[in-house]
Amino acid sequence: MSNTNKAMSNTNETPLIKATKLVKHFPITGGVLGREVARVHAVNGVDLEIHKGECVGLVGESGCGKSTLGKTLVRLLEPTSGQIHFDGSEISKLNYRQLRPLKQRMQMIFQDPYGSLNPRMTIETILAEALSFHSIVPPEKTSERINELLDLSGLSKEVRRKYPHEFSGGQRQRVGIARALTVGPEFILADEPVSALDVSVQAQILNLLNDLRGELGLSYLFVSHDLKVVQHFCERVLIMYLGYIVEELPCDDLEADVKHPYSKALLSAIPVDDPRDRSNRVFLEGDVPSPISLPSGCPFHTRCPEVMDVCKTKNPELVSIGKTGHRVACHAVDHES
Amino acid sequence: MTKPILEVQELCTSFFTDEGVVHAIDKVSFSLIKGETLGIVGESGSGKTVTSKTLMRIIPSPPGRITGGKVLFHGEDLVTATDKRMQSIRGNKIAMIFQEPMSALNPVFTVGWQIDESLRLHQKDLSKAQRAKRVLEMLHKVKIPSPEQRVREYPHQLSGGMRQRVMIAIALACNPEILIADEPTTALDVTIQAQVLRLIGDLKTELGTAVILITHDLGVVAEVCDRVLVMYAGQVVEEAGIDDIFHKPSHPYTRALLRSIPKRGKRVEGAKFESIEGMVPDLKNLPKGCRFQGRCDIEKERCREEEPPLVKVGERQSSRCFFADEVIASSTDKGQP
Repeated sequence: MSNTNKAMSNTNETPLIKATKLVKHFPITGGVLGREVARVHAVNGVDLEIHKGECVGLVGESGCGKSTLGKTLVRLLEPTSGQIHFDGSEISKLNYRQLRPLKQRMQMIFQDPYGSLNPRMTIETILAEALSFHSIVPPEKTSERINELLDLSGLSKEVRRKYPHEFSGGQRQRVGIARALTVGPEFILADEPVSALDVSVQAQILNLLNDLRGELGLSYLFVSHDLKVVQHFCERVLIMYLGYIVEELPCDDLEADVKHPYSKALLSAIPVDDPRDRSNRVFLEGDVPSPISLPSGCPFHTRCPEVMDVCKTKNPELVSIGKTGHRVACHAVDHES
Repeated sequence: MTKPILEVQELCTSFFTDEGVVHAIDKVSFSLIKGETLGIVGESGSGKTVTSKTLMRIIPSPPGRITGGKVLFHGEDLVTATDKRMQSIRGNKIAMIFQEPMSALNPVFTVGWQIDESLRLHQKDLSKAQRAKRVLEMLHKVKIPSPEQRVREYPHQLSGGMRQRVMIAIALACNPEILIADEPTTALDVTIQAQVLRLIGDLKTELGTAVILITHDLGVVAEVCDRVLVMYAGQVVEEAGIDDIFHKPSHPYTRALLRSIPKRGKRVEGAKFESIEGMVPDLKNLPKGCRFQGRCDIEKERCREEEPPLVKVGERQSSRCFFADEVIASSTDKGQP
């Protein structure tokens, strides 16, 4: 394995995570023989790069494959095809044993911290388990390290002997973060980490994640359905629809920059926090089509307000336009530029 | 001023648990006039859902009990009404839709059957054919595509947005005077949320139904409400017209909530998310004085000694803060443009 290739990691050229034509399909089996009768096309040929220290947002409606993409990237799911490179080395084919050292470098934070913490274990045991599993610190140092982790996550030392049910949602998410940090990761997949929290608490957790990023030099893939949060939290955002990345752009000024009709609709659907501005909005009719039988041509053509004939037959490529790092997959945009 | 159809006076509901008495809502008062949309906003645990359930008399009892106050519906007190009388009002005159449409719909009956159910119970003079016609009409009204086919389908065959439309169809089947919508769009994607909110708005105008919209999302409130109650720790802390809430808040909690919403617009590098530090107080063990103490940014000695009453601070605005004038003065807004 060459994932300690120092020469490569020193240059900024090597992205921390790079996916090439990544595909993840889930088979649906049926009949007596359990043959594959159909498949769910969750992720359909995604190319992406996440650089060191970067925070990338991944946005889309439910069922668009954003969680599946995230989980495939950190190898919680086996990709159907395509490559994943972590710090320059190919990881998509590694087996469980080979993955183990990698899991110390990438960690996850989930939406529902209650569902991802064992209710029978105290916070201390939860954190100690990860420390001893990966032999991060010698046993006599464990206690000291747990205190450090709690401190990093903004929890007091008194919580060590408490159980997950004794915490509020925000505190539980802090425990989830502390656990992710036990192994000293470089990359964190944050899958809707603040969606279940109240706005006031949401801000606390986002600030914590931001501080940790600066302190520990973390990179994030921030999966969310909330474009408003992503816009402020991330530097770059990927917008996903039915397993395809339809647009990728820097977050500087989303409202002015977005080009894809789906991204525009997503932005426009966010309620404006001003009763004086109940302005006209782009409404998307209908629901996301089933990922079992994808529409022909552009996946978005069934709901697109700017649909043309070509969209029904030809799936547009994700191509770079104008600004650096801005890529769009839309026939209408291609024609303009 | 038109006579209100619903008047809630000093309503109190408590839960008598093994660990102690939880005063979930404490002297909540408000009124509702025909065709109006009233928003109830608050974080989890603020008592907004308990308020709505108390109005409908569907508080699980034991442990819950309405311990005081009145709910006057056209002058008739619903708190003391008989169960039979309540049944004839519930679903007929006052209907409710819930956050999670999947668990609120019965999985073993068709959509048509479930819409028909409320008609069967409440509109006994309708014939079977008339009811069937009304069911289809309702599905049309909530804009479900191909209703003739959908009427025979089961909830699992529908998407989340579609299920919520069915819930709305059930709720509105009997032309209720009041629709209570408890977080109707929280489980939905923003694009679908926009569709459902527009639908509720359109139906309200068409049928003249008064709506009580319960939500934690101030954006949703800005979009559809006429008047707002802000709840904190079981009490109403502010009541005001929609414009005042957003541009001239009179309670520090409202102000903090507004600040904690991520704003749309350009990204500011390294900007912090505004949060409200600390946590909601334990309802079993409330502090002396103001319930927002410890999290308030203008807290003074007096706030820890006596509990502020809800007092009028403007023509249509009330605040539960001793220093409401100070809060209002701090708003930079100069009134309607």
